[in-house]
Amino acid sequence: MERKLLHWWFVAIGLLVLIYGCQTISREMSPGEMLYRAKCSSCHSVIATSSYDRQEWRLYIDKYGKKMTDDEKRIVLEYLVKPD
Amino acid sequence: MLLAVRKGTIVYVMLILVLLVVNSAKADRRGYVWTYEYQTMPKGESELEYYLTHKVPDVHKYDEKNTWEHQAEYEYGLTDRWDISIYQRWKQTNTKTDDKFEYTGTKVRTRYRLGEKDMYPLDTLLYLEYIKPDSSNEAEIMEGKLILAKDFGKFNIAYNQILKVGINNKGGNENEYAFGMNYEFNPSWKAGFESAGNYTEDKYYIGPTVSWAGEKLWVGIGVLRGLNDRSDDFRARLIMGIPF
Ligand code: HEC
Repeated sequence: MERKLLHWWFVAIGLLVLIYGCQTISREMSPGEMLYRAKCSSCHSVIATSSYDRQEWRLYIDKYGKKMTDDEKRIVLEYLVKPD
Repeated sequence: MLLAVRKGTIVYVMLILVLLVVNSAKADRRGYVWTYEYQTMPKGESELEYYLTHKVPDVHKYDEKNTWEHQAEYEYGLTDRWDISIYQRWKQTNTKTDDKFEYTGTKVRTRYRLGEKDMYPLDTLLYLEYIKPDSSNEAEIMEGKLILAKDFGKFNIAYNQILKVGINNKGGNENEYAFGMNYEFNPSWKAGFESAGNYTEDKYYIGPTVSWAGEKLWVGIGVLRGLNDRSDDFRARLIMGIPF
């Protein structure tokens, strides 16, 4: 059983090294996109930026981002209406 | 028996009271009940979670032994990627001759997400937990989890590799896993299946899970059946989260 244990940890750590050792396969993200993903993708999957217009996004951010600061809301909104 | 149930209801009453006074949305909403996914509490926010787990070693001898475990957890986000939490645990054990309700101990936990969703080919979360049993005869445990997850549109998969190490010479090492796959029908509803098990003890389980989220509350319910004689025949878990 100890052997099995080791085996799984090697697989797991191997995977990690593969993922993080390989810079080229990581994706660059703007601060706006990171903040959007941090604040808005914990309850549901990431909703595509093109799904709504500025007005609608503003309402959703107000509804679901009650604890976000005004600055954070602005950064997320700017990203959602103009993703780069 | 009745007395034991009454003690258990204290936990419910406490949670319902909290539910009545909270009024904001922000959560560590769970799509699974046995498997951890790629999620931490956002910075400065907190949540109360209640877990109820029912275990039945042998369904044909339900009266001979079954247990109800209660767990209350408070979570707090230190940063958008790093959170901490503390748990209190109770357990009711029903046997033919005796029903007992006892406080089983406490746990502290921390989780860290290595990036935002999709930044890397696999979303990776590191999880570390210290389990302190109330009884000095039981093992104090350090539990590490490597959580690998990925969203494919509305589909999600998550795998947890779990290592438990007894740190007071009372328990050996155990290697466990949990795996989940689900589909998000809309932002409120997710459904899928999970499998959990213990490689060290050769115990394996599989079963369905559904999860619902509203603005002030989320709930997940899952059942498992054991896949061999060493496993419990049946397990069920409900988790309720109340962000505030
Ligand atoms: C506390 C969990 C939670 C968080 C965090 C959250 N949402 Fe939601 N969101 C929901 C739930 C539940 C629904 C569906 C039910 C409803 O409409 O209230 C939803 C629905 C939506 C919808 C409507 C999508 C549809 O198909 O109906 C949008 C848009 C949305 N959220 C955007 C956001 C944004 C933007 C953020 C970040 C500021 C965010 N959400 C954060 C729980 C959350």
